[in-house]
Parts: sequence; structure tokens; C-alpha cells
Amino acid sequence: MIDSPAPAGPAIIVAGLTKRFGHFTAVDAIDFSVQRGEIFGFLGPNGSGKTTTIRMLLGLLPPTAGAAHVLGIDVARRAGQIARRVGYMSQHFSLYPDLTVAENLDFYGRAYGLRGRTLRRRRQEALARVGLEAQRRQITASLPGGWRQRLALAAAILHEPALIFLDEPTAGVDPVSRRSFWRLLYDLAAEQTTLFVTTHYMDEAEQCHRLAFIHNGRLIAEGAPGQIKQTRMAGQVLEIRCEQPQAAMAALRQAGLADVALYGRRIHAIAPDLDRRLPELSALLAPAGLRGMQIIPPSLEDVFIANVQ
Amino acid sequence: MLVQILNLTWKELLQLARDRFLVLFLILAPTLQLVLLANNTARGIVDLPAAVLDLDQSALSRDLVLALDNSEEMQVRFFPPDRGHLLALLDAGDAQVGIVIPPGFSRAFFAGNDPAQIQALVDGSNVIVGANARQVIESVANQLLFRRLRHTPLPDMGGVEVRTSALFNPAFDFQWFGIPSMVAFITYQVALVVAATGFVREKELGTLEQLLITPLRRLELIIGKALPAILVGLFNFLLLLAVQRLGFGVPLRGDLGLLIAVAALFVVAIVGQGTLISVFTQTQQQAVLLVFLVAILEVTISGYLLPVESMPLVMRGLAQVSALQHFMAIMRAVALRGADLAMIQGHVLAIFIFALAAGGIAWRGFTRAL
Repeated sequence: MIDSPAPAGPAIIVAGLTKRFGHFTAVDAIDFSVQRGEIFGFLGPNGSGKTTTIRMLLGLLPPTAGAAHVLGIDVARRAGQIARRVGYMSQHFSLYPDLTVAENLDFYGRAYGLRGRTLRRRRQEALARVGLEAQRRQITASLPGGWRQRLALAAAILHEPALIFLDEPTAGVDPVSRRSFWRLLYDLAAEQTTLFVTTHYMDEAEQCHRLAFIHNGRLIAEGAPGQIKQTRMAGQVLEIRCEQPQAAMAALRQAGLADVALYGRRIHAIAPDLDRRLPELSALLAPAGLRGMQIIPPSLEDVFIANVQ
Repeated sequence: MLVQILNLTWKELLQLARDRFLVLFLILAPTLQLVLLANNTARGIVDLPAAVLDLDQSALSRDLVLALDNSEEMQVRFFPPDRGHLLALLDAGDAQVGIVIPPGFSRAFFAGNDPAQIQALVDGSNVIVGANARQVIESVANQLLFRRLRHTPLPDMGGVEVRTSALFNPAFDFQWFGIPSMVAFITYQVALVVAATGFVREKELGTLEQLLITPLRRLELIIGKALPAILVGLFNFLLLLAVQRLGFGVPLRGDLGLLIAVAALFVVAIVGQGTLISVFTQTQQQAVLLVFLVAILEVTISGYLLPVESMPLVMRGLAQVSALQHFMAIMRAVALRGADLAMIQGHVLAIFIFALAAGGIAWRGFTRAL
């Protein structure tokens, strides 16, 4: 295997990247860059253009316009060279259910050109890293969901790529397994592996070094999670507790507050200058059995929903 | 309970209607099936290629040859100079029936008493055609001769008797004819279904996308997927061939190596066809349904149910592009007639072209669609 020329600079540089399917623009002139060793979160609602972007970065889809460089390789001109240098863990579990854990890894290892002793060593390392050594002879179909994700990660890191794309890697996995999966990602990032992750879980998004929001094919925010929460929120978040949330929400909407949402038994209302309107609102909400309210720092979820609406 | 049943039924129908492929299949497949089968039912043989050796050279014998040629069932294409050439034509499969009119045929006929004899040599490797040919010759001969006799009636007419010898299959054993065709057909089905579900299974699992971003090249991928199907098909063929020889006692008069080599080419062609199905379908269900449709088509046009010789002209044209039809012909020729490569080269060439075409289209579809 040829080692990558390891050019200095960002792992991914995207400039004006666009993909059209007929009249539909799936990805619309997006720009961003991903630094080496960074966990980069790529967020957006379903159908916003996330997977299309990843497919272009992997060299599977040619861009309609714009440019992207992945590990210094031009996606449009040398698409075929990206595959061997990056790892990819797709949205759907994509290993063979009827093969054992070790057989799956051997197959993918060989596909990446690993042979003999090197293959065996890398397989052992990958299994040890994801904690599946004891399961190596087990049929993949019999693994529980969380373990399968870890096996898929093991397959993606066998050839020691400098950059890994993870497309919703933890979809449908329980919280404990998600936590342990993310611990694996931190370890990889600490070793200077760049991770490009898409997710719908906001707690996971908070753990990324940097984030980009994509909506309807356009990039609407980019930056560190804290930075995005500060700059991308046009207003304050007021958390309200009361006896009759439905009545309270109706009252708030009548008072002209459009951005009102229920989080469990609490209401989040988002609007500018809410701190100055507290007395007025407490009078308004008294009939709904107001228990208490306070201005809280916005969560990523608030930012996400506010920006998408 | 009924409400729930209807609820479920409605849901199923909605899903069915949404699957455009399935709707198309449910309309197209039965229609096609019926059209094919209806057009292909029992017309009797047409224009069977015949070779005539007329050793009598009388007015009567020449009339008989003319009448045979004018009949719908037979076409006299060859006039070999002697018996040896006649047999060679039958060996090569150029003629499927040989007629020998012995010297003194005319005299024997007009002498009366015993029936005048002619000899029919039919290709016993195709039992249905052989049996048909005998009947045709007998009825044509008797019709003609009795028509002539209306003008000069003679007492004690014996008529004409056709002495038939079935070449290659003297006992006229139907199994000898049927089993090689069955072996070909089963090999065909196995290779087709294994290949057809290959890529589509990877599509369903989501592993195809994963494979596409590995350094595996497209050509490596397509050959790597085709090879196991080819091996399975070939193994199957060898197994069935052993059963044909040892279990059913069907002779293998030709070269075993030649037969295996041609079978390998045939399996490659069919795996190409299967891969084509696999590339253009999205689910295994679709692929299996298509295999089912194609197999019905092949059963009809390959001569598995009815000999190609008895098909209407359009169907006979279709049969020429059926790799299975050519392979069945090869199986019978090599096993029963002991044919060598020169005798079956037309069929081999047809399979080769089929393999190239199917492989080429599958490759184009694969590189375009993925």
C-alpha cells in the first residue's frame, strides 16, 4: 500500500461544493474545512444533503460544481484514490451478517490490500480497540446492535486511515452503547485521526470539536458548539413550568410568541428580550397554573430547531 | 375480525400497487406466458430438413421425393450420392431425417402383394421429431401413391411400408432424449438464480456501497461475484452429468473434455445473464421473480417442452438467441451422436456470442448504475 503523501493543512477543504440532480439542488455551494485530529460534527435534518455531501467527499458522486480536497486529494479529479486512504462507516450496518466477526474483518482487510501477518496484527488491534476479542468467532448476525456498531468501526479502521467518515454511526443504539462508542472516537481523535461524523443526537453534537449545520443543501452555521450557541441564537430561551402546558402554550402564541415548544413537561419559548417581558408573561400565564420560569442558556437542540424553522 | 382482515388486505394491496416493478411483473408475466405457450402448442413439425437417397430413380420415386418436399412437414435439402454421405449429414445434424428409396421400389409397388419398402433413418437423439418424421413419411407416401393408383387400379395392393431405424438411440428411449435436456435446464436454472441474487443481495444488505469505497476495482468486483456462481453452476453440471451417465445409463459417445469445456462456456453465459438481472433490480424478490419469468421464456423457446422443429417460424427465430436451446442441442449431439467440435461449432459460437453480449451489457449497467 502506498502511504498518503501526508500534506500539511486541513484534512478536508470544501469550497462552493454543489450537487444537482436534475432541477433539484441537493447541496448548494457549501464551504467548510476540517482540521486534522478534529471531531467534526455534520448536522442537519433528514434530506438536508448530509449523505450526498459525504458521497461526494468519498469520491462516489462527482460534484456538479465547486471543489473539495480530502487529505489533499482533489475529489473531482482523483476520486479513485480517496477510498484507500479514508475509512467509512455507513448509515446502515454494512457487514455480512452470515460471516463471523473475524471473517468480516479479514474480508475488508484484504479488500484494503492487507495480507498475512500485517492483516492478522491489524485485525487483533482493531478487535482489542473495540473490545470484541472474545466475540471473534461469533456469527455477526447474533451480535447485539451496539456491538455491531463497534465491529463496523473496527472494519473502518483496519487500514489505519487518517480520516474516517461516520454517517449516523449510533442510530438506533442504546445510550450506554452510544457513550462507549464515543469514547472510542475520542481515543482515535487523540491519536490524530480526523473524524467526520453526522448525527441526530444533540448530546453527541455537543461532544464534537466543531460543527456545521446544513439545511436544504445550504450551510447555515459553522463553529465550535459553544460559539454556535452564542452567535446563532436570535433571542433568549425562556423555560416555563406550569400546571397546564397546553393552555400556557396557546396563551403564549396569542401574545405573539411564535417559537414555542414543549420539552417533556416544560415549555421553551424563544424570542428576543424575553428577560424584560417577564412580569407581563407571568401575569399572562397565571391562569395556566404558572409554577416558575427562568431564562436558560440555549441547548444545541434549541439552536438547531430555531435555525431550521 | 373481518375488519382487521380487510384492513390488512388493503394495506397489502397498497404496498403491491406502490411496487411498480411488481405490478408490471404481475401484468406482463402471465400475459407473456400465455402468448408464448399458446403460440407454441402442437403444430406438428414444419420443414424438417431431409436428405434423400433415391436408388430407384423411377418416375414413382421421383414423384415421392417431390411430394415429400411439397409437404408442410418436410423439406428435402440434400441428395447425397451414397449411404455414407447420408449418414454424415445426419451425424452433423444438418439433416434430421434420411430417406432411402431402394432399387426396385417402383417395381415392387406395382407388383402388389407385399408392400413396397422405403427406409427412414431418423435422429433418435430427438425422440419427438423422430417419431413424427416416421408418421409423416408414411402418410405422404401412401397418399401420393394411392392418388396415382386411382388411374390404374391394380389388385392386391400392399401399399408402402416405411421401415424406420432410429440412429443414435435404437430403442427410441425417451429418457435418452429427455435427460440431457433436463440436465442442461437444471444447470441453467441453478447458475441463473445464484448469479441473479448476487449483487442485489449486497444492495439489500448495504454492503455494496461499502465495497464500492474500498480499493476493489469494479472489474474485480464483478468477476469476484461471478466466479462463485460459475463454480456452483459447473459443479452442478458435473454432478448431473454423472447421474445421467451412471444413474440413467444414457451413453456418452462424444468427448467428455469437450462437453465440460462447452458446459463451462454455457455457465459463463448464463451467469452473465444472471448478473444482468442482478444489476438492474433492487431487491432479491425482484431478482427471483425475473429469473422465474426468464426461465419460463427459456422453457418455451429452448425446445425443452416442444422440439424447436415444431415451433412456428417466429419462435424458431427466438430459439436461435436462446443459449439454453443451443446447449441442449450440444448435450444431445455430444452424448448421443458422439459429435465432435466441428459438428457443434455453430451452437458453440452462438453461446459464445450470447456470453459476450450478456457480460457486456451487465458490465455497462454496473458501471453506469453504481
